[in-house]
Amino acid sequence: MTSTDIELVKLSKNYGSTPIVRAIDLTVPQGEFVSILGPSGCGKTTTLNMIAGFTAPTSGQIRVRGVDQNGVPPEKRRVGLVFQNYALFPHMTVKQNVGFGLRMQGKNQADIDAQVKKALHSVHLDGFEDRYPKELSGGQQQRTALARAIAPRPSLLLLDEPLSNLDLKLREAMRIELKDVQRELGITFVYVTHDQEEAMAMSDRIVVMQESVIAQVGTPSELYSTPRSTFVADFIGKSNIFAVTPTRAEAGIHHIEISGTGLELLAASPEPDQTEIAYCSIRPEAARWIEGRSRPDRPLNILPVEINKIVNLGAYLEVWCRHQSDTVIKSLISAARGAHLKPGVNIELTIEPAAIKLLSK
Amino acid sequence: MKLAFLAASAVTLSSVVTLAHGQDLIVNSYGGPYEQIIQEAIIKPFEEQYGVRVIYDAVGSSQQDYAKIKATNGRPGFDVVVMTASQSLEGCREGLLEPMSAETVPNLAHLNPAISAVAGPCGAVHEIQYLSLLYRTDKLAEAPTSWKDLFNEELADRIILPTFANIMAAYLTQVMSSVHGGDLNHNIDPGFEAMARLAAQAVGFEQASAILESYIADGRVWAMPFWDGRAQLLVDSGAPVDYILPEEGSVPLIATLNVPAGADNKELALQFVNFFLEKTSQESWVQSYKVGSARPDIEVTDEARARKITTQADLDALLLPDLDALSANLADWGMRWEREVVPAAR
Amino acid sequence: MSSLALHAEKGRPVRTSLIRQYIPLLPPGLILLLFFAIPMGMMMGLSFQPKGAEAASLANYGRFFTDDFTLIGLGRTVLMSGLVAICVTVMAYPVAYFLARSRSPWRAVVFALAIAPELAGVVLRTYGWLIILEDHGFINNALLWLGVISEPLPLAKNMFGVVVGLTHVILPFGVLSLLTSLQGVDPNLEKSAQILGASRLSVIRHIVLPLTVPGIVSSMLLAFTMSASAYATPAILGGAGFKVLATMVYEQVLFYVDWSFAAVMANVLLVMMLIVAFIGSRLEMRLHKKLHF
Repeated sequence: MTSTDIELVKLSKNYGSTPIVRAIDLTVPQGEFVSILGPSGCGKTTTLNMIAGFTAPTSGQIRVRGVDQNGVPPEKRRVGLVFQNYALFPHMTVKQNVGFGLRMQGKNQADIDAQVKKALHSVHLDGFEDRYPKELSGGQQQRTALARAIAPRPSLLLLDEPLSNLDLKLREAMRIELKDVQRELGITFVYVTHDQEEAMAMSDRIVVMQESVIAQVGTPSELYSTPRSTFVADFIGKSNIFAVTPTRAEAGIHHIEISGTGLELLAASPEPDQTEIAYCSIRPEAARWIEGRSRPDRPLNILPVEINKIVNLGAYLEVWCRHQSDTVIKSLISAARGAHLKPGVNIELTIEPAAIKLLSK
Repeated sequence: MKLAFLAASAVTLSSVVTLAHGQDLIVNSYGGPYEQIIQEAIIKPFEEQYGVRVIYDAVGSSQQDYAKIKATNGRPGFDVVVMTASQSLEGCREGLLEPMSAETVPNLAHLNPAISAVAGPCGAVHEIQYLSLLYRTDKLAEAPTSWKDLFNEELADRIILPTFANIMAAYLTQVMSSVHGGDLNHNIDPGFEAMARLAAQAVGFEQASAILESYIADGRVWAMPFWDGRAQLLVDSGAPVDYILPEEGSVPLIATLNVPAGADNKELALQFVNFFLEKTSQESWVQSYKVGSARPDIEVTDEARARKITTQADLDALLLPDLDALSANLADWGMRWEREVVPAAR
Repeated sequence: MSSLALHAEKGRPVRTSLIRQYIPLLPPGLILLLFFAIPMGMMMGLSFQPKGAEAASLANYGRFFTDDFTLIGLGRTVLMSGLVAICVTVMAYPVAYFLARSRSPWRAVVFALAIAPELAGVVLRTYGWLIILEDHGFINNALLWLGVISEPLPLAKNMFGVVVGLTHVILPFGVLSLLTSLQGVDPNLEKSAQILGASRLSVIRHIVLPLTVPGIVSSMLLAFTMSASAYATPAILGGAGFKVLATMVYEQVLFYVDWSFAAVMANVLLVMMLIVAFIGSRLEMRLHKKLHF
């Protein structure tokens, strides 16, 4: 049984009269890689700062391993922190940087050297002990910052958008490294980011924040396939989102009209109450292109459309299609298949009813 | 067009200023109560008699004024300045001051020649003070009579001395030298030896007369050397003090009127100097500022007679220093003062 | 005549002659020449013309460096300036740290209090210190009245009084100088140290202080040079026996009227400050490099 590492109970923070974080509740089990994801200004960095102890909450509790952290200063909380700009001590070598936490703990030099070596090994920076931060590349600095944070063996590591200063290829490589380190050491990671691809790639669970509250918590696949609001549906991956009016429901199938267009679709997702349905979300890959004359037998949503524009994503094409009802729907078509498609061409799309998610907000 | 306009205004303005200055005399001297006295006793009568305007400049000590004259090579911007005999000699030597003669300043003939000689040809002696011994009447059992009284035990830590940057210090050293077997100008060792002993009696050294005065005014010291003019003013202000001309005699502070060599209004300036030396002006000055005069023929009150330098006999009794020698020795004496006298105080 | 070719927007080359390029430098250059270079040159020349001497000579320089009185004055100037430099920097550092890091609403008040005294001017504040420090001034009277002492403490008319007065006057400059340096230290560095277990004091000791050493050096340099050339405070709070170069120059100019010797003293002061400034700025550069910025 995994114990709970972090508990946030009705945690709030106001600056003056402006709420930055509003009564969030969260439980993080030990050893989990959880991301806090959201656009800028949603309160994620403030939440991180409160867990670290740099900002005192206005109300609510933070418990780490069951211990209430109220009044505990940052230097006494046994957490690690990796900053976006690494914040490596420029006047110290890599070895001194990485060993700093151990030094503050009062360990003797021999122990410190051993731990530093281990930490550098974890991040593949063996041999870099005597370099200075300004002699390191971005990726090396990032790994040094990570080594410094894990060297004192904290049970919890906080990371504040640590990869956003790196270029794409490096970022992708570092994602894998970070995940490896986390799994190897078994440390709980709380990872703050605005990059949903990153969160999806690395996290066990994602906490999506929107305007100072939690919008949804779930595993990456849960969030992707069952978003509970248009915000989450749009933020995670791409989606076609329409405001809809439900017409009728029968045997688990909802009939919905895309508001003001007259286009009716059949949706099969579970939704509590007919009256609460206000939006629908359709992933582009769910709007499939039917080629040729073969039609499936079951009644499916079939839409004849005209191609408006095509965005080339490399392996896939994002095809923007217009229905006669003036609804524009984005479809994801493999580049190989759609090689000869052009704007102006008419095609047919079909959407599985189960793939149409019904949302109330 | 704009340039021409600016040039024309500049020329007009400067000529207006020069014309205006042509009617005015700029006299540079001291401020404070002195200013009020000189205005009443000398300046207003002069303005009335000659129908001119005097602009009074109280900025700067005589040392600073001399520095200005030297720096501007004799064109400091004022026409008449009050300085001392030492500066008159030096300024004359350097060609910075206008020489005066019986032709240009007729009243010079009425001054005691020995005193005039001390000041040299570029200075008109308009005022004489002597170094007196000022004391608290309420603190001393008996009034002192001699310079040696300053060394009395009852005055331990009860006197104040000037810093060497106040010319009083050099004069005092000369007096002490004379009193203790040396002389004013060359055999000065007895003077320094005496000053070192005197320093042991002192609570410290101060630069400005006003601050020196405050020590005796509030009773921190009971006796000190001081110029008689200011001493009298202190007495008149009601403080429980009095002063004497010690029996061994004293040295004078010879104040002079000088005209810078490059003054704009030289003629009027010399007339002002002459006016200051008139019998009536000197009498007025002696009575108002409580100082002495170099004119032995003035008529003043008995009180003034008794306490100020006003007669031939008084003038003859003064110990006159050789100011050229003093000037030459000043740097060395300054060093000696710092080395021998100042350390003896604390 | 060389020229610089610039291309205007329409593609036509615009040629600015080298001479015309330097014309904007003319007014400030002229002012510097007239009011700085020439007078400095005159002062240099003056120092080589002792009173009464016909030809140029080093006699006055000889006099300066062989007389222990003037050498003591020089030494005292250096000592006084050094002490003030240390006091200013030590006292300014916490104030500057508070101003740089704190987000308390008192920031503005502290800032005003630190800077505002400058508005009162040097002389006023120095006389204020005299009243507080002198033998029957505020402090001594209070201590005497309380019976803590029986004789007044010598707090004025000596090195102590002068250092106190000068530190007070120069402190705002120290604060501003250190503030700039402290603001250059990334606050995340301090946070990193904290989260790694460093107490506030450790953070300052291991992170902030080392990284602001160049700022400390420059603050000390600033305080040193301002002290060395100070006149009013040493004159008023130092007393008769307290001679530093600035007060000695004053005396030479006005009392002894030996302008040549005064020029010698002024030049020695200048050279001394230049040497210190040179050493200081080299030190600062080396430290900067060592900190791997």
